[in-house]
Amino acid sequence: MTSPGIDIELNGCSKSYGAVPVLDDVSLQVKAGDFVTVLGPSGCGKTTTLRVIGGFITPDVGEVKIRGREVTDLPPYRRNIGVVFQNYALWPHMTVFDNLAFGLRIRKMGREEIAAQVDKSLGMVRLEGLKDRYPRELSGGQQQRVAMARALAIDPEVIILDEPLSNLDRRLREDMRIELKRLQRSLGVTMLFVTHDQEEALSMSDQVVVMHKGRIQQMADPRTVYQRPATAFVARFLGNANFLAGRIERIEGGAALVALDAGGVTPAAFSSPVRAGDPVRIVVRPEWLSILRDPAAGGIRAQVREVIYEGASIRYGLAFPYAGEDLVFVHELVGANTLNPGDEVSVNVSNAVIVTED
Amino acid sequence: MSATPSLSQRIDVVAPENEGLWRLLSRCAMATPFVFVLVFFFGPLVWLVLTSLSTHELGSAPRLTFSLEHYRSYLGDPFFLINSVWTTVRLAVLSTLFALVIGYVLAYYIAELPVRQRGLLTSFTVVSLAVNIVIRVFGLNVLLTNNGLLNSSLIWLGLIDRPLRIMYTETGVLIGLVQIAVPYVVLPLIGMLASIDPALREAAASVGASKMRTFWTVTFPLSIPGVIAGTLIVFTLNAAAFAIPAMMGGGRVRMMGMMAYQQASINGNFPFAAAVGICLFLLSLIITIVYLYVVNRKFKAAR
Repeated sequence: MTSPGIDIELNGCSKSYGAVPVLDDVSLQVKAGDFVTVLGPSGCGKTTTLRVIGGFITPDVGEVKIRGREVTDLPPYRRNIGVVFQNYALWPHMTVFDNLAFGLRIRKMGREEIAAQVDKSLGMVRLEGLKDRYPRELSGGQQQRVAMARALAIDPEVIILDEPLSNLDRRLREDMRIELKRLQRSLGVTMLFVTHDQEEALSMSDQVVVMHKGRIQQMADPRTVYQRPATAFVARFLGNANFLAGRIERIEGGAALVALDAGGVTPAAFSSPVRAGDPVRIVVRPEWLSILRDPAAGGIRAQVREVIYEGASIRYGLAFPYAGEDLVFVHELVGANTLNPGDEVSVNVSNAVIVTED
Repeated sequence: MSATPSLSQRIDVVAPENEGLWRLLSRCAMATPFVFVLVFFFGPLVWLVLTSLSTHELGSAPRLTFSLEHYRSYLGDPFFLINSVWTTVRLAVLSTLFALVIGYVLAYYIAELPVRQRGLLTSFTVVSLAVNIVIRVFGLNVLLTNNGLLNSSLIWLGLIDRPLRIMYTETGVLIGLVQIAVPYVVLPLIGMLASIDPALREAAASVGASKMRTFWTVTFPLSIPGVIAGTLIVFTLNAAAFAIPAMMGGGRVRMMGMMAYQQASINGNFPFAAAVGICLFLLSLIITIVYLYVVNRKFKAAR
């Protein structure tokens, strides 16, 4: 049974090439109208996931459903999924019009109907008037829009996008992010977007799926993924993370009190079950730390080792006693009271999360 | 100033005295290929044209009279037109078509393979070109004669009662021409097909195109440059074929190359042979131009 309103569903999909697993028991559900990002480093299985949904790869085990219809063994051309490829894959021997009309002719639409649909799709990506151009005569950004329009033109059930913005320069990429998100919201079309860019994932998505080594590490909304990373990998891959070791003292009102090896006790959130006495690793985002100028102010004592000027802010690398060689990094807005290497300070932890290993 | 001269200064030190000589030598080196083509390609061609315009008298050397008599007697004679010109065009076109179909399938298969195996099969193709044409014809002879491998197998299987006559017929020549031609079609097509981004085919599938439709609308149009390269080589090669019709046609299949050879070496009529040669050259040229014109119009956007 599929619950209504689920557009893409993977159940226990695995795929390996020889002895190398590229997809390991992947299950996920994408709600109708959602923008879901699959995020991970290269080789994590995110593109394989997309190709399984698109039908270009058949999983060894598991099933794929699109709008409740089982499509696991259907070839791509029987799925009605719009695909935007990383290099756009526009047919170089066809004009923009023919690129868009290709799928419509297969659907045996009439000449006028095709022309109307092509115009509509080009309008959505604001590319009217370039119908007679060949792909090579377009800029990278324009090609990207044509690829998007081609996927939209066939009126697909869902659209999957394979790092579509990675070939654009930074400025254009940021503009396209906003535009793509706006387009998706206005059309209400379900999109699954594969990327290795955490900023893209956090800024565009309703849900973020973080993958590593063929497995889903965490699937949640962007805030949760950032604020409550489930694993050390997620914490490291999204944003900056400081790791501290400690031991759980007791559990109190949904938070664990962790005695840090570096000294001091801090409450930490947790997502998987923990018990008092367990040794744990906690993640502390740089912005969850604040530096007190007085080393005796009651926080964890630390020494400033590195001072990195970054324009609007300064990044301090702090060394805790008994915390190993790793420096803990803290950002501070540039103010009057700049610290120098060697200064003794005290650090306050306002938030922390217990993570499991990868 | 430092004592050791900089790199650019050191170059200047060597240059002045030899500069003129070096420049001359490098110019000569650049000119060599052009001189080669001029002397060894255009030279004989001009000589051939002049010979074809000369008068032939038995026992004496050709005399340049700028007469078109040989062209008139060759192209004006229905016997020659049917037996030589038409045979040549028919066999060249048919062998090109068959070679294209066979070669395309092979190249498509090879281009799909992983890089290592693709390289291996590509080198096999190249090696097959290295086998001497005479040896290849003898191989075909063993296979195709009346009591050869093919006929005895077919009789043994009970498919035929009497051997098929293939050797020394036009069919035999056609098989020989196709066999020679296939590698020339395969080689450019492997590179062409392998260079087509697989995502282009996946994109076609994603908008609903079946494999067949994807092939005819995406893969084939994009491979046209390879098709043109292969077919042009094969057509011009086979239109001018000599060894295959001579060895496999048993004198009955008179392609133009053979006709020219017979006229020159048996009848000693060099001007007539030259006229046949020039006709062959012009025929190839015209067909090539028409072919390119048609293909370019139809697939102008493919490149």
